Amino acid sequence: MTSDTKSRTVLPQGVGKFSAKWLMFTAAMVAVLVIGILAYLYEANQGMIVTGMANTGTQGGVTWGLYVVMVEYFIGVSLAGIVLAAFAYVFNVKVLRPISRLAVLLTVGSLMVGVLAVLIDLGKPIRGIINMLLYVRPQSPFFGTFMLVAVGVLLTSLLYLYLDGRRDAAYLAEFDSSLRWYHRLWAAGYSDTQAERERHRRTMFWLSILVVPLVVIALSTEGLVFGIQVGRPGWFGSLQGPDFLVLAAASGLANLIVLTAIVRRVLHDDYVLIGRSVFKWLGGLLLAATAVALYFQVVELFTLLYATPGNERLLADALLRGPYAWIFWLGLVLLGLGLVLLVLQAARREWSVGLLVVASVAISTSAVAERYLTVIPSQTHGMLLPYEPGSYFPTWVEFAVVGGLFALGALLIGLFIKVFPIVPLNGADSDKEVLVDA
Amino acid sequence: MTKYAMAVDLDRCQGCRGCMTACKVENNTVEGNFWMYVFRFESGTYPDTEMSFLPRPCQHCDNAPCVKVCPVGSRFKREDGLVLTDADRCIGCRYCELACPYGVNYFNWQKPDDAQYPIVDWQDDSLDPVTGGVIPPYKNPDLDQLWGDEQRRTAGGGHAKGIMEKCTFCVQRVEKGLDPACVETCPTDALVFGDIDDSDSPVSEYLRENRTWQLLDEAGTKPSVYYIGGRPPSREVTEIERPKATV
Amino acid sequence: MRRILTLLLIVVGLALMVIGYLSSAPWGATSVADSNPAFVGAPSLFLIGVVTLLLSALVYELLPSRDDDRVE
Repeated sequence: MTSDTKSRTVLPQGVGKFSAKWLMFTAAMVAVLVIGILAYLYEANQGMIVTGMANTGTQGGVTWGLYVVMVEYFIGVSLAGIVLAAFAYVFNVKVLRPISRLAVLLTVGSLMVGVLAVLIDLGKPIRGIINMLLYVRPQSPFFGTFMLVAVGVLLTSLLYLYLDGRRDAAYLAEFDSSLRWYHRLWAAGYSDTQAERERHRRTMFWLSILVVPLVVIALSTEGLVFGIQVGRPGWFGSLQGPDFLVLAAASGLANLIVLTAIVRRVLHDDYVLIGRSVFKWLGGLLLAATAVALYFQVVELFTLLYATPGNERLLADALLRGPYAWIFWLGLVLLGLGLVLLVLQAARREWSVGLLVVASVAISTSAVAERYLTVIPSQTHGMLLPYEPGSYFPTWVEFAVVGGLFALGALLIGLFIKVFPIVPLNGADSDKEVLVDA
Repeated sequence: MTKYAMAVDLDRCQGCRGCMTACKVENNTVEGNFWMYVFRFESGTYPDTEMSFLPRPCQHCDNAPCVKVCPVGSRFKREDGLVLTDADRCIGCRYCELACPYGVNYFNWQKPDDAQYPIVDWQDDSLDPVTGGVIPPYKNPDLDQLWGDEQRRTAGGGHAKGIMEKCTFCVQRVEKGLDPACVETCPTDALVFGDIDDSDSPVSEYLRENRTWQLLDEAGTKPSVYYIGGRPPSREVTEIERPKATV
Repeated sequence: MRRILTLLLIVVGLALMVIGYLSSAPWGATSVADSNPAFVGAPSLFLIGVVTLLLSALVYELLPSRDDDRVE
């Protein structure tokens, strides 16, 4: 990158330009976040009695409530981004290149929020961090959650995001902007020599190769947390791990599509940076993931309807026509609706961004419902001893905290977009040389 | 070696729930937490109904699912068979509660002082002549001590907020050579406690002379609690007279 | 230099992970009551191992070039 006098101050993609709309969005998210923090402080002071949770069995409650549901959801969402970026890198899928940074950012954001949700769910969060470092046992699935998800995958994704952005950072560092120090720091002396490019290519290749098995193994432990519990109807089974991954892929892609559509709108970008063919790819992948997710659900439903052993019957009744029926059927209908919308678009070979977003929202909502149904009913209706069935409804505190988590995620992504170009710059010394659709 | 076990003679149990009360007095558990619990079941249709009872302490399993899932080794099994929780180690993730098929774990959702039974306003000055100024609930000082070879705070540790607790077989009494509070109080001697490695102990004798069964045998947990008489609970029975407690 | 350092970090990271894992799990524990890692903080070794392993990528890319540019 020879310096041909970069005296320009306007950074590409609106970086460093904090528009009124962006400030309003940020203010709104900060407000939601503050409410969430206040709610959590109230809970930390009073104890978790202010949530809707209670002990299983004699107290007829659930001991893992909405927080764990959201942990499962957020960590699930994180799967798709990094895997997609790695896939695009290894196989050199140029079409996906413009959203690769956004994809990794989604992984980083949702993982951070998911891990925070784990801490929020602990009765003693600070002791939780310390004791995990001092005593965590590999026999417990939480070893995987802690070591592989919270540390391994999160660090790998951050590393991926960082290294992948170095070249762009070096380019931006030549602009005379208020963010120059930051871009310089990020670039860390990158000067775009042939040797550096070659090294970077090699690193990214091996990171991409490493990250896929790492993510699959790490995230499977999230399903295993439930799958290895023999004493709880509805949980025990080898399908929990794969089931988690499949729904994770669907919900992650759905979130990525929504995010891509938003970014595209924000950048006033039509066909320039993020081409329409990105949506074709994302739509196709989401279609595949949703189809498999639906297949898994139908297999499960069929097993429930056909042959339900003793204690599972109570659970099956609660799911199919009991207190959880509306969530169960709503989730299934939303998943089906999403699939139908995707199939229609695939058949017509025409992908509309609007329809894709609708399908994505339906599928993502369905994923929340499905996570809810994995975590909650087995506690209220899954006791092996004849306790009376329990019930659970989250309190305002839980809703406020979860709202705060969403806001935190949105803030992370929103802030990033304003300090760094979200679409990778193609030619490092020319921001006009952008990716054009094939 | 010592290996503690409990025998529960359902033919003797009359469902008085005295053991539940004794447990509460000994262990000062908060409202709604029953380390020892007695189911009262009803089966059949009127007028052909039948009542049965089932005391449910922690089963102190040899293959305890709660021990396996505990991420930090707070829940552990002692050499003498007791499954205990280290109150200083527990991080409050509540995984043990979900792993346990018996539902014996109780999380402290709030500060224990706020969760005790609000029977009387003990702060009332007019009660002083009766109480001598002592404000209940009485706190068993033994609960906060370190016990066993491991020297860990396993007896409940005074019930801190945000940690998990359960029946300890009254480790603080067993260490002193006493029976657990529930066993001590049982008016019909339906509960027998002792060392099954000692063939002369009452519990060994009891188990030798009776046919026994174990709760949820199929879960493979290998409990240390043996039931005599009665029959394993099924979904044919309905639980009645649940204790009213706010949590 | 760069390659040696990177390889070293990878090897050290993996070694720390193995040691950390083995000493976190109670292999060869003599008592069922032994719910502690072989030594307090053994899991941190595993964690440091993971971080070291990932750090190797950073070192490989970020180490300032001196004379190895002409090699590649």
